[in-house]
Amino acid sequence: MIDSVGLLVTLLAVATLAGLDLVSVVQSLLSRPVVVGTIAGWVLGDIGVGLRVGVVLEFFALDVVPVGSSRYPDFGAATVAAVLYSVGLPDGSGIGAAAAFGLGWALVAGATLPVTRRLNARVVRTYASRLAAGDSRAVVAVHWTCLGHDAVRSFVVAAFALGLALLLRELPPVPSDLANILNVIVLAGAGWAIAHGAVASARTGPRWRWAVAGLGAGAVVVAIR
Amino acid sequence: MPIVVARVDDRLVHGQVVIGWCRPLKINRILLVDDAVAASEFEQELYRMAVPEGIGLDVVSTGEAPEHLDRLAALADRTLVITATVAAMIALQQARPRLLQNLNLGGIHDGTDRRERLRYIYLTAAEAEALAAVERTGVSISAQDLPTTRPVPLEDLL
Amino acid sequence: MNSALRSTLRLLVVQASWTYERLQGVGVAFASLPLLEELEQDPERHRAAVGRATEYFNAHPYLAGVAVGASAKAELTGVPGATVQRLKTALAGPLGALGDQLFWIGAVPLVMAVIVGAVSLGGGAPSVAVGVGCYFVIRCAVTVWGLRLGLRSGLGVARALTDSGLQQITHRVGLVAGFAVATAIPLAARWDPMGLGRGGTVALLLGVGAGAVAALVRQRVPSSRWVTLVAVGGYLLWHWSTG
Repeated sequence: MIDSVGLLVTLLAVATLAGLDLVSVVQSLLSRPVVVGTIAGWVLGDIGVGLRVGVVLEFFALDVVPVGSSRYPDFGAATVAAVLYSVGLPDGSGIGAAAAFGLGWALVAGATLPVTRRLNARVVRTYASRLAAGDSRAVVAVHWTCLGHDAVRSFVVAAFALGLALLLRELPPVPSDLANILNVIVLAGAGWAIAHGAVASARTGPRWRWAVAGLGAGAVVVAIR
Repeated sequence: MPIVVARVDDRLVHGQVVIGWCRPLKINRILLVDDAVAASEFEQELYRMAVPEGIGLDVVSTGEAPEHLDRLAALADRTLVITATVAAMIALQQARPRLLQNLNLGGIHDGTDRRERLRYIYLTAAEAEALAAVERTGVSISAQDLPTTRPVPLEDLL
Repeated sequence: MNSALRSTLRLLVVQASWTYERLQGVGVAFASLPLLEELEQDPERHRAAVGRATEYFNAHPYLAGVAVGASAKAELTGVPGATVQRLKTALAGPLGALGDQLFWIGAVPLVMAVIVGAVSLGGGAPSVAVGVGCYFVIRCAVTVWGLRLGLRSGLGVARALTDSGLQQITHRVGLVAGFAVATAIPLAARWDPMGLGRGGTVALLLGVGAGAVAALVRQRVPSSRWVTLVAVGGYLLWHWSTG
């Protein structure tokens, strides 16, 4: 069913929109792994896999603070591609491999952001004197052109990610013993990520107590269920 | 070591400073040195808003800054000093060389005659020269936007 | 469509023209244009105001509207240009610091942790939809609120922001976010997304321990993304080289 062109076009659209959501358009939660992963799973008819891949990558995303002009990864298309890769594999076996692939692509995709920003800067420089003179039409032209840059960036990132995922699907499936070890490594990495993120944001006094209380509350819920 | 960071950042107190520097380095006082802000009530009110609970904010003019720095140096507080311009930071450093042995360039952006040195550092030729002269007196100067990124030594910016 | 509504819609794409020199500068001008149209009878004043609006600016994107509104009100009431520039400069820091704390390390991790927790407890796709829906409403409401607050208060925006209680909310959201992220850890460990059974729980908790210790001991830790990719790559190399 993944050969269906309509399905791939839908995934491509979702992945492109997730790329735009990261910086340029609305900036809500579409670019978050668990959100876009669930949507991708739904499109592909396997929400379970979408949720699993999404949650694992979400742990890594919770270790990123996009403050200022620092560099950050772009998880949107990467998550969609990871879900596409793992749909249809024997239960759970491909989640670790898929998440590792998604993680790698998120870093590649994040590295394309500075490129669009450089392109934007070029447009701004071309129009600099008209902007300084308060030419409204120049403002509008610059802004839409730059939005176009990010749309192209998001589309290219999404197209390559999905293409790569389709290629990976053509390879023989990862043998189950290897897949299990990858699962363990990636899961431990996800734990590392969320703990690191939590500690980094808990470094002010009162947050510690709240974080410890949260850990305890979660453990209690697990114990009584 | 009461003066933990001395930073030049034209955005003054903002997210990178509060979240990036104050939290992990346990800063509990920010000294903002800027003549225009010191003279403007509404600007001070705004910067005060940016500072989270548990961190004090002192706003002084460049003239008052050296003596204020002496008072802070005597306290147990961990202080971050911030100026908007290279010139203001160099003036303060010259006035109290012993208290300011490390300067951090955190964000100096677009303007006339500025050349890009890093994505977040645009310096005029005069500023670059002045910073180099200060460094020759034994002060260490580097550009670093966040504590988690690698500091770039001044010589790589010249 | 009235000018405030058009400005609000434009604020949803305020970061599209982000550059390292001006950051949100051009985007702020783009969002300000509908509000500055009133000045068009006086082309010179209009051009001066638009030109100022394009200059360097950076804040949290959701709160940029506060600055757009306040500076537009200042321009419309004839405040001197230099004062408008200083207002924007002074607004950028607090709006950035507050917004980053309230959203990037507050509401976003909070909502994501609640979603992860709900999914782990079997909430499935509906819990994702509810979380995303709630967040989207808040995100849009903040932009509407911010622009209106700015437009209403102009140079008095500092007082208006202080009175709004935003600082107190920010502090509390941060605490709750810390709680929620920590709660999600044991829940997700129990859920076992990889289907590994007890081994999966142990692997996740070992990772949590190692990450926490690394973050506590050292200021600059290699990112969790690189650590994981290097571990995966290293294992694959070893696996294939030993046949």
